[in-house]
Amino acid sequence: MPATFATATHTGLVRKSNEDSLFARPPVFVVADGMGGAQAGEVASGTAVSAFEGYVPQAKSPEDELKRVIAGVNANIYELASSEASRSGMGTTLTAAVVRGNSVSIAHVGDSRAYLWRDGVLDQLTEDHSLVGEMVRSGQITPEEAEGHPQRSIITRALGVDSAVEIDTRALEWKPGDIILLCSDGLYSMVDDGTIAAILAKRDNLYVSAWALVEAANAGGGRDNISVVLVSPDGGIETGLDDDTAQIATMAPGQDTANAASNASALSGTPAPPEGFFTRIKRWLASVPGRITIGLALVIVVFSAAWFITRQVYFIGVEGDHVVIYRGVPYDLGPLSLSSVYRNSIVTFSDLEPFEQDRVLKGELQSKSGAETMLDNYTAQARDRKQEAERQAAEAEARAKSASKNLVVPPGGLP
Amino acid sequence: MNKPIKRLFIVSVLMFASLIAMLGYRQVIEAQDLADNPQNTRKVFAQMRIERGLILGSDKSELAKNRKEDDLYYRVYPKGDLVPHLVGYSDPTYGQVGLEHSQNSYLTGTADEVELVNLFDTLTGKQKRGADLKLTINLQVQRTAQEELQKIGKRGAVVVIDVKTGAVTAMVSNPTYDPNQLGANWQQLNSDPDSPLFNRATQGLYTPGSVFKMITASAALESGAFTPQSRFRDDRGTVDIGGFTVHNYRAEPFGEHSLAEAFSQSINTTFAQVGDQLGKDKLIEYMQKYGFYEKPPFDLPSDEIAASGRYENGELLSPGDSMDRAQVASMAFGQEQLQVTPLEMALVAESIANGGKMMKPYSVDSVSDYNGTVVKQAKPEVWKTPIRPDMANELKDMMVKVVNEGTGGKAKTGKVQIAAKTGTAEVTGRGPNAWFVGFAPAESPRYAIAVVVEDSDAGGGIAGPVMRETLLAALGL
Repeated sequence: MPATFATATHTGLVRKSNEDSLFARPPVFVVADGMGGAQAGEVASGTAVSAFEGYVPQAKSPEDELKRVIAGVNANIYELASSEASRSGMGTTLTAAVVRGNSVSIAHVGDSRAYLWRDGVLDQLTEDHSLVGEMVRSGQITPEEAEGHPQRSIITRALGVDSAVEIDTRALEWKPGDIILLCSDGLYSMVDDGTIAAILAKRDNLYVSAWALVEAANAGGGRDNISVVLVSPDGGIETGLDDDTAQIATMAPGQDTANAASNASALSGTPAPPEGFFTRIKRWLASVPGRITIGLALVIVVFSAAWFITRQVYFIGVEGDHVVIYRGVPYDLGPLSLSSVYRNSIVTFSDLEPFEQDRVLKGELQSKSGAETMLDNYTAQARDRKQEAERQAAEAEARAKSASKNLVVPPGGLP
Repeated sequence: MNKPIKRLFIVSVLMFASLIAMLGYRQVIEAQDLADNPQNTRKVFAQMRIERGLILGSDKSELAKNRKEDDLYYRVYPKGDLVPHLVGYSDPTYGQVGLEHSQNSYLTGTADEVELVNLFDTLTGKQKRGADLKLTINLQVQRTAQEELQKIGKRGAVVVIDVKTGAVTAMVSNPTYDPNQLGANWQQLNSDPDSPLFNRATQGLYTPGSVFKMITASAALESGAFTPQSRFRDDRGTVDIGGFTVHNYRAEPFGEHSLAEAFSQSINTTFAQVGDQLGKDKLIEYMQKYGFYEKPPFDLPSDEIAASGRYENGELLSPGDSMDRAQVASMAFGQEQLQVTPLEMALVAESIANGGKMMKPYSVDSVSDYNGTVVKQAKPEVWKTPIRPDMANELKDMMVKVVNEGTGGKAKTGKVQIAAKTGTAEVTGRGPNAWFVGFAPAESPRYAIAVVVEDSDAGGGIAGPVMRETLLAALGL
């Protein structure tokens, strides 16, 4: 049985674009992780994988052929990088696997990895050409320390950064039931080897497993692009594809999940990948009932907020002839009044000085305490004035009385 | 951390530190200087965005309010030319004077007491707003005083003070001006020889003439050497002191008389002799006790208030400057180089009326925020205690005699007993200043008043009706 395979690539949750590229056409499988600003990374990784489209392995052990192809890629990218200023410094990692007979040949530059899963154990086939990788190998730091190391993204070898590059290759025998995994650092920096092994151990069809790995990386933070190629060399695990469809997948760079999925389907008749939680939410939000629900929720939130705010403000106004505190805002919404009398008072409008009347008519919005203070002041003022008027009236009455006492009443009384 | 990162870190820390230091310097230490810099026109415009507080009369009618135009507030003075010298004006072109200037921090709401802008105000986008000033000015009294002065048609001033509190009830300077018409009249207002913008009540320096005898009499009575009954003799109508001949008004001889009579008849020869006997130091001491040689602590800007005292070429002399006998004798009846303000003379009358206690004069009764909450209330305070209560009473009796039997007959009215002292101060080059200073009711004084009329060819009595009518208005009679 020929080898079966599945691919998955995803931008991740942090990066804006996907600079990974991958290529899969039995017996050749490639993952490339581009680098360099302004889309240069996508160009680099895309250039790298497209070089494999015209490559058909000839030798039984094609390590040297792979080295030649990859050296050619290196020269191409290097030339591209030096010819255009905007692309200077671009480069890519590359990990390729070729399945021939009962052996697998691996060629590799950079920090993308190849793994062999066998009987539940995950075995890393490549050595990372990264600063941290070298520090681990030389024993400066432990693999655990490497995981959170701030400089773990610095790679020591890549395609396109120099006119010549050293390429690591190796070959191994595969056994029935083995799974070869090629991936970019977006997977293994987010998901530990144990989890990867556990996902593969479920032995779902390869597409389910590939997308489960992507979901796991996103669940772990998704800080980088994630690319995964799974290969069952003996064809013992189903791909999840229709048998008739051509089994080729080239992932052009810069595609997000949905595109990658549909692209994969278009190219190789892949079914949509299993949906993760985020994807389901996203799709529901885009649907008509989803949009209506969101719209209604927004309207309710806005109206409740507006209502809540109008209940927090107060203003002084006139109700009948009396000065009162209103709660709300001094407007009507059609037949609906947005204010109601909050507190009455003994102060009449005519009790107020002209400048105070102006202020009452202005109906400026106030806090509760502000409005209460204002009305309290007006009330005290009106009360003082009333008492003063009463005092004067009493005085006048007393004067009138004493005057009438002095009045000489003629004998026989007044007529 | 490796070296380049460490270096970068140190550099950024230093840059932030210097940024904070400079910001702090500008915002805290330099802020006031920058804001006060006249080249900083933003301050004028920033203040015009603030709804200035109102200025209200004692009856809460509006003396100054705002007109809003294109988000800027402009001042409007609804009472026109009634109280401009005290209220002043606030104008983007002509600046600020009067209370508009001295009370600017309250009017713009920047004074500590009125910084009421809370979170709620910020959220509702409320602009900073000024606090309202309620003045002690009774517009009825103010209007009466102004009309009486205008009837005479001379330059002059009137100051009315509440005896018990020191509250200024009226402050008139004639001629007046309309602060609403500054733009149209600026040239004319500044070139007018009568200087209508000038506040004669607090800045006008006048020779006091005989009203100064209130101070000479205070010193005489309290020295113990004289009583109101002390006897004097004047057969010639003139007296020679230190080579200088003092004349009575029209060199009239008064014969034998008491100190009280010398006061009510305003006999210069007697007061010259009293002054000569008391000496310079005693007179100067009593002038200082009455607040001479310092600016009265009043609400107006300091440069709109003048100190009373001896002046030479427009400069206030030191109280310690030496004087010869002739100068002392001449000063004792209010001539020589004496210059006083109407406000000062009103305070002298006020302290005699108030049992020898001179209250600190004030015109801002209270400051209230927009909601009517009083944030500052004026409290009556004693400023000086020039004489003992019993001496004040003796002086009061002498001042009653001035109205009933002496030179102050023009102030006499059947409605209330007024106490007063008149003055006809000689001024070189033009007609004399006519003074009337006093208070009413004499038995239980409520209002003290000083009236001065410049260039009065009609004689000192011309100011009498101004005093009488203004006091009657103040007493509501």
